[in-house]
Amino acid sequence: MKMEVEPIAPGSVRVILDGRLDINGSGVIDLQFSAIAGSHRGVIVDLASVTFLASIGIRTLLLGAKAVQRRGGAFVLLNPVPEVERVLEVTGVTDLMPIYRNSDEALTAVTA
Amino acid sequence: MVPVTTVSEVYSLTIRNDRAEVARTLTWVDDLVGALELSPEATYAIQLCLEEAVVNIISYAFEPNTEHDVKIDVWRDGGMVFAEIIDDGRPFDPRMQEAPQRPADLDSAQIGGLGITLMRSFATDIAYRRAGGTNRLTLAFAA
Repeated sequence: MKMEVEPIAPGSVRVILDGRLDINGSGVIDLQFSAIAGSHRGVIVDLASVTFLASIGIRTLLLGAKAVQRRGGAFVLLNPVPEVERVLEVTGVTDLMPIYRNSDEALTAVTA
Repeated sequence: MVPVTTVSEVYSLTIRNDRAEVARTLTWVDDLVGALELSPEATYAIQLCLEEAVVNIISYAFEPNTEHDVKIDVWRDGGMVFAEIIDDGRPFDPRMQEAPQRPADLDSAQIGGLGITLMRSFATDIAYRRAGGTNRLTLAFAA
């Protein structure tokens, strides 16, 4: 699992995840991910290259989203592959954070 | 493609009760895709359910600091694939575990407990029996 952080606007970042968000992948990114979520008002999580999402990875996303929302910010997901999106739907995550298919719309959502 | 109408060979993997072993389980399923003629959907479902079941077992089935083996058998029978997970931990039937409510908002969203929700959704059937001091969880999938 790889994680890249790209500044997109003052206080906002795009977090690009790449790999399997399973128990190993979450272990690799958890600390850095929660630090980013704890220090930004706008977070786009780019899931396009995440090939696998398990409940442990949902924990990572939920904790991040809670941290951003607590400070009045916006936390959104971008471009999950179909199987990953099904995991998000089944677990109710799609009701809790918006999913965008288009990076411009995601950018508007977190910087508005 | 000629449909598989007979029961395949049973493929087995034994791992220790260590979280670092979960990745090996997922890679092992990747290696079985050809032999069991698994669709990408089936492969994902099997890997997801195995991760959830095995993480659960490793986290809760055993006394702390004790070493145990967890055995996984996978086989194909016609259009179905079965995965059986066998451990000698405390009796635990995940089917009895209550799935968390769908949260209304982020504030009230509970962290954790979603493994059983995912297994119920991605496996077509879940069977459990306690036999000879072992838990035997059998998951069925459309191949």
